[in-house]
Amino acid sequence: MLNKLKLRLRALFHKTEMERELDEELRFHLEKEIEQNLQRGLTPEEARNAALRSFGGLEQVKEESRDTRGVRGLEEIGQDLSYSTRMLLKKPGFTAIVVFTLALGIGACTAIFSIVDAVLLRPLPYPQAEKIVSLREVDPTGRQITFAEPNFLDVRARNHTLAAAAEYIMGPTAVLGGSEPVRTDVAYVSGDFFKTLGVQPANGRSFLPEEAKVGGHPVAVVSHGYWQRLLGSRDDLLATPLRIGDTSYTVIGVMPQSFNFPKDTEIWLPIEQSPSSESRTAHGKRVLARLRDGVTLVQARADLSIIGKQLKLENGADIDMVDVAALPLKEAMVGEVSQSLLMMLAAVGFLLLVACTNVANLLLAQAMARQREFAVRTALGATRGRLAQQFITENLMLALVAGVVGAVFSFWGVDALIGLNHGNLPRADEISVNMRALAFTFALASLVAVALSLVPLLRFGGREVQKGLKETARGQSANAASHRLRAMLVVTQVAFTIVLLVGAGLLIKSFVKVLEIDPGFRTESAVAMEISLNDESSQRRASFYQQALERLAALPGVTAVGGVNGLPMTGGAANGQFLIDNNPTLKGYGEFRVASPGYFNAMGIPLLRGRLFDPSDGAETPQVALISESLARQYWPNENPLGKGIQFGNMDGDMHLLRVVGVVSDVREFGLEAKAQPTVYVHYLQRPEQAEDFAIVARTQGDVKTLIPAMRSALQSLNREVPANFHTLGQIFSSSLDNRRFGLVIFGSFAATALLLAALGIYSVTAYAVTQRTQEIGIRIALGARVADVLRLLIGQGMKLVLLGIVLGLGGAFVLTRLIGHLLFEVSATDPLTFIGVTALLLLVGLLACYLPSLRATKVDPMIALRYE
Amino acid sequence: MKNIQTDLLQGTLDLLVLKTLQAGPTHGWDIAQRIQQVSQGILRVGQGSLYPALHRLEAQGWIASEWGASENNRRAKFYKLTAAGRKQLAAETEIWERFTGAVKLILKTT
Repeated sequence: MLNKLKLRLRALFHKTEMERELDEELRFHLEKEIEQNLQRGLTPEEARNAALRSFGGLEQVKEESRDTRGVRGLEEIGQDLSYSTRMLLKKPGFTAIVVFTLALGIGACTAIFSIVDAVLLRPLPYPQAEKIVSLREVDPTGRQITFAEPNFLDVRARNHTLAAAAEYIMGPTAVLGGSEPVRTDVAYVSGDFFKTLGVQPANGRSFLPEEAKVGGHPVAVVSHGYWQRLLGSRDDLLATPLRIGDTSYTVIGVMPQSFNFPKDTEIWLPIEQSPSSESRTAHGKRVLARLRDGVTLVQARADLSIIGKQLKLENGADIDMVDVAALPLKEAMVGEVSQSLLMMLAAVGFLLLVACTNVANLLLAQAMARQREFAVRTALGATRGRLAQQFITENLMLALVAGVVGAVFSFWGVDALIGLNHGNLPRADEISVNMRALAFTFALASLVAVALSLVPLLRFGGREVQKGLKETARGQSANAASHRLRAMLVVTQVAFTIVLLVGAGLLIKSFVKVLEIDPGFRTESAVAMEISLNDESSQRRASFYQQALERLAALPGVTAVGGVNGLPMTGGAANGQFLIDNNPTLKGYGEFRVASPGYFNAMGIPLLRGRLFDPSDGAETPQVALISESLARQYWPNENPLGKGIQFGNMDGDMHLLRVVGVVSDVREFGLEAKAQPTVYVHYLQRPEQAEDFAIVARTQGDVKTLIPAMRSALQSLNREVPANFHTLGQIFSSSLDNRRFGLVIFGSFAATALLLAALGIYSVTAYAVTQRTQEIGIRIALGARVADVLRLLIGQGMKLVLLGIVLGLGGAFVLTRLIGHLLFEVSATDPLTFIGVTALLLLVGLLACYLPSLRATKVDPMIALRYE
Repeated sequence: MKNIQTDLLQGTLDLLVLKTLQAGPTHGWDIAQRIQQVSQGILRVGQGSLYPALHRLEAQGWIASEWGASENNRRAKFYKLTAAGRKQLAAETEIWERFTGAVKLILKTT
């Protein structure tokens, strides 16, 4: 036993010494044999030859002797690794292409997986997050809407299934008291908000019951980011109260860094301190709840549903709610994007398949070139399993290197993708290429390696040695079979590429269709300055806006200035029911905007009939309104709307009748893809109540970039304590397309990559065919074939594969593109033009990929080609 | 009589090597020669099987090796039987005899 162990250790650590001894032992034997032959009277040369002959394969003897050492496995892996490294380094071009191709596929997969994992798979970052639900009222039409406060209070009081429930609202607000005034997202939350989420401040405390009521001491909880940036990370929180509107808030807590709910909120205030409407139809409150231990979602839904129906019975026409809907918070947050993300996961899977097919193709070509090597190794005693092991080692090395490079790609990719769509992607701050994603990459790379090893093994695993040796000399049947396999790979590749291209094509066409829509305003050469004045009296507010408008209008280069309480494409402002001519039976529904006279010129919204607001309109003059084209068409289809009356007291409590003085063109309030909403514009000096938020738009003849600092200092000269956010109209317009651009860029880049890979695949197969047929081409040329004939022959062969791939791919696309139907805009999932265009593109690329290598064949000198054999 | 390739009888070679080494330590070439001589030329051991067999037996611990000087003073690897090898030889000899006895019995009756 000890003896054996000693031998093995020696075998492992004193390999060269043992090899030398084996050599010496065998040489001794050979010499004795020669000696004996000499004694028999043979000449020295004969003696040596005879001895060598009788000896059999020297290397085989050695190999078998080595086998007995019992450390084969370990030794072989070492051998394989060093051999593989040498093989791969010997062909740097091949290795680089394979690694790069696989890295693209793996990197893209890892990036998309990271996003899908963070957004869809991982639980929300709260304790027992699966118990947190979002509650909504359900109206008689089945629509889910936000809560009215009295309804929330009743649901919270009557349920038997919730451990905690909280309401909240949020919006941008001017916050003073930190190192500088900022306009940031502030949430008003009810007492149990933090308890419901299960997260408490990392520093300090959350609201006490006596603070969560009218008249309670004003207190605020701030985000870690706000605390760092604007409170200087000070531990003494009480020293720096915040001022919001007219109220001073004591900071009592700082949330943990990871806490980000509602998204981007930096300040949390007790909602109970400001009294809310007692109306059961004044919606707007979002509601969160945590299920009691042991309560299932189904049980909670049943419980809440009964309460919803009871409340309807008790309140009749005074309530919209007929039922309560409960959805797990995660679903409520990510529901909208989950389908698109899964689509992207599918697309990236296709890309990986195309990349793998390409690499399989290259490996197969390599394997054909290496047939002689395998045959020689088999002759020297390597078993089939041994060769397989070698293959897998080589491919594992390739795939792992590609995995590492791919992981690097994915870091960039994830950053780029989040950058494309930060505003719309839920949980974007949780996305990162983490250990889970890297483990996924590693598993994927290994899987790819094993899959890739199967291809050449299938081809060469069962081959007879001698056949292999013979065949390398002259390309025969087995090569033809390998060529067929490569051809099949190309067909597969083209088919997958077509599917991706059609998907991308449909998205591009959708994007073009979307861009063709007129937003209703001019997006260039204008800057919007968003400010918020909370708790000011509405008259003070209006006069501040008036002064700001005057100062901005005086800036050099500014041609028009105007303000509105909600800019198009920024998430909307108020909307609701109005009465035509104050007649309770003539109800209408529309957007409600508070605008200054210059707003329409500053935005470039054309006047269609009547007049705009003008200097003759003021706080004391009769109230006037402008209406949008679609509102005019909807409510006065065959009449002149000018002079008609609208009562819109539902919005701001002002029951004055608004006189319609003009009709302006429609604006796409909610993005290009949403229909223009009927809109009523009121004068900001007459109805300033709803204008806590105001966006002032300045149009310039000059550069928008230089306008922004000028606007900022103009505002500061008026009041240093009003923070503002600046965006160009171009930025606002562009980010309204983020979601669509996100999908398009992802699909488009995957499709482009797949197309490139497919072109490479077609190229390499045709190039191989050309070298295989050099002799035949030589004969043809010798017999009088023209260049065109040869080209037609070779290109025809390649294009057959492309055509087959296209047909299969179109079939697949026909079925699969239906799945992205919801991402398309005014384009059918089977849009014939897209299908035709993609086919033409692939034919063109295919033709080029066949033509280039075929060109070489036409330069074949028949004499050389014939002599070659 | 034709020569018999010892490879054909699996395990036989091990027995022959062990038996040959019972006479005393010697090197590979000598082992092959002795097997050939003692069997009056009927059994020829190919080098291709001999050395793997020697290394296998050594790995099993039945024989041990050391470098020494040959008859004409060249360096050669000498093999000798270990205690375990002696036991193995006895056991294998018995098995072999029982086996050949059985085969003989069958051949006689038919």
